[in-house]
Amino acid sequence: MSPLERRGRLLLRAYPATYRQEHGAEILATLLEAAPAGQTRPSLREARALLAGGLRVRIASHRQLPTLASLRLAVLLGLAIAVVQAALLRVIWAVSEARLPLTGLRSGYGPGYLLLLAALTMTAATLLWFAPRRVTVPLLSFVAVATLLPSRAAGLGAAVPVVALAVLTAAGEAPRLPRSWLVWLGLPPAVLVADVVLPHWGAVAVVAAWLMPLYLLAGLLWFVVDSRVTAAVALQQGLLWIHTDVAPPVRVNGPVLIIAVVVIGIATLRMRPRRPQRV
Amino acid sequence: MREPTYFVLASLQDGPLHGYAIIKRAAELSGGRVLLATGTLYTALDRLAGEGYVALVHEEVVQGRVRRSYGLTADGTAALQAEAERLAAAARVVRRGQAAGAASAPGTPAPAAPARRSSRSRHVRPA
Repeated sequence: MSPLERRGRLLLRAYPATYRQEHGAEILATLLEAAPAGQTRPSLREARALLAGGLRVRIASHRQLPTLASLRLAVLLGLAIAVVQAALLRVIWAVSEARLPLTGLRSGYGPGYLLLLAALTMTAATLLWFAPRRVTVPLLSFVAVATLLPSRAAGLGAAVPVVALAVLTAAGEAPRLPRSWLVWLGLPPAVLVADVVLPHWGAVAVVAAWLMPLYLLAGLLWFVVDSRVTAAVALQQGLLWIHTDVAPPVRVNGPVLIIAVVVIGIATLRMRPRRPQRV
Repeated sequence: MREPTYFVLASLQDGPLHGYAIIKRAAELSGGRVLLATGTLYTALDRLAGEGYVALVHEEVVQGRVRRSYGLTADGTAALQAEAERLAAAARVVRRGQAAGAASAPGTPAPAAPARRSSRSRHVRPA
């Protein structure tokens, strides 16, 4: 494989995988034919056109799903992000209970139990996108029960999204989202909470102060590529907002951005494709 | 219709062509003004196929690479003709104006039309 071909393939990754399978070889062949002899990398003009073309196809392809199917995927992703976030919060609580004598932040769980619960929750939320329903639904149900077991008061807020996720997963076909790693979007808000729970972590405070607005802005702008993700971030922000322990710093960091994410997320889900794909 | 789209359709009027051949033909027909980037070409082909103006007519493997040829549909031919008529009518307006100006002031040379780059042809690189 020539350097030009290798770099061309890299640029083609701007297109969705399904489109690449069908048209990637053809586009690459044209790119190689159009390049002057001896060229080792695509010109800036070619690179820019491929990146823009990939973005256009991504926008067109995700809007081809019916609105209800898009909404279902957005809700599933939003709940999954919220669940991963809750699991990460348990890790943070486990650390704070084990190391720092912070009053008022006791969750009612022991650190070991919290870590085990976090690992189980994150496994379930990640498996959701790969494993069949007969695996994920019992696992999610188990996580929900285990969350409630030692402390019903503290576990209720975390168990509700898990139960909703289990019910929604059980109710429909196995969900397939192109980028399943998106469930880890719960990480940035969790870092923010780490700053609240562990106030002596100076570096975390600096990262958190920048991370949250950036996270919301990215969620807002992501509607250009996939509005389901924006809607998912909107849902997760809503769940975060009603969680009283977490809401105050988020309110301070970006109320306008949160509202914008919610409005754009919901509004763009309703957009229909203007033009069909190539036949 | 944007200029690159016009020349993509125009390049197919003599028969189906594959990707690189369309790029070459569009450059020839436009006097080197329309130099399509590969990504731009396939975005245009996607759109034109969606509108029913072009269709995939042939697929072959040449030296291990997929080569697909595209051709104009009846709708595509009609759209190209309509756009050509529109451009010709627009050109006639200017030519008539110039002729009238020359007739009313025979001693004054008609000013040359300034070379202007269309704001709609953003993907066009002048040669």
